[in-house]
Amino acid sequence: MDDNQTKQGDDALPDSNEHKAVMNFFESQYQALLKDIDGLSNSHAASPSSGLDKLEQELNTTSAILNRTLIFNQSVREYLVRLTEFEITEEDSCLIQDIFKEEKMRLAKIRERQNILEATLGILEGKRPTTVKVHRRSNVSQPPLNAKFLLYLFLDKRDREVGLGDAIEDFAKHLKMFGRRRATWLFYQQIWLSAWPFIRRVISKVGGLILLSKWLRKF
Amino acid sequence: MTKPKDYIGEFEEFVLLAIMKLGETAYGVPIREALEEATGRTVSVGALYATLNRLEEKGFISARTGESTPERGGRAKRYFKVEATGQQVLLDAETARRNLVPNLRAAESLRRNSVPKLRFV
Repeated sequence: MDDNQTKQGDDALPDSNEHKAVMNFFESQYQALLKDIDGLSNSHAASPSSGLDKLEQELNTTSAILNRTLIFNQSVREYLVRLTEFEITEEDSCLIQDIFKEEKMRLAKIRERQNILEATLGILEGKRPTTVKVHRRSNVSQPPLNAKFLLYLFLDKRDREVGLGDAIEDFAKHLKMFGRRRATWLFYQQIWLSAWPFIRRVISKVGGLILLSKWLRKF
Repeated sequence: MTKPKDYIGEFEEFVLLAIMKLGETAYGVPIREALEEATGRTVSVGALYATLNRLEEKGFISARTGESTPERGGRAKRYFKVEATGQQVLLDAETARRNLVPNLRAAESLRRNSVPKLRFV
């Protein structure tokens, strides 16, 4: 931008410094986005044979870029609406128009890629065991679903929620200290130790019933 | 003095002491940790809650539901507090133990005296 244009711009826009800063920001954001999108286009899309983890990773990356692009477009659009009240330089106008044209095409490509990845992941998830599905969707580090169910079964009705909460808190602590495998092992240890009070309860109930039936037979 | 039905077992006594030691922060996890640290034994969730329920039924402790945290999978905590009767039963248990200590000491000294001393020539 030469001195003349800057002066013209300054006369037309009361907040020209802000405008320049915003345009610079948009430019840097746009360049960063372009780099990421190009990186995505150059890499081969993960196929079902690449494995679930790679597929999930790529889907996450694509979704993140898509979100960033959408946010960027929204910001540019909002700024354009604001600019309609003022006169802007031809250079800036061209830049914004170019950004929009290119962005539309890129956005369509990213969306298409995301749809393919989501569809592939959906097909593969259908074959996945339920427990793994739960781990992926949960934000908190959770023990295996079967283990939780067993502990739920062994605990007394009124203690189920609290007891399970305690065991999960312990699991999270062990997970940080020893890793998933050992934490799961310790969780199972906790289950088998909790089984005895449950077995004792069952035995006492069954024993009580047997005694009752014996007593009833006498009459 | 406590009634015969208010008798507490060794584990129940440890649980009461652990709750008293922890004070306001006494819920499942720290109680279990305190017990494991003190006794050196692994305490299961099931056994602990069975004991806590028993103590609550006897009126030695009271419970209140606390907050839920993300690391607990959104499940609430249950805080415990030792009631006056619980404190009394602990005092009685301590008194009973103290009364038995002289006997223990006597037995120990008797055992020591009965062991023949070996002399090496």
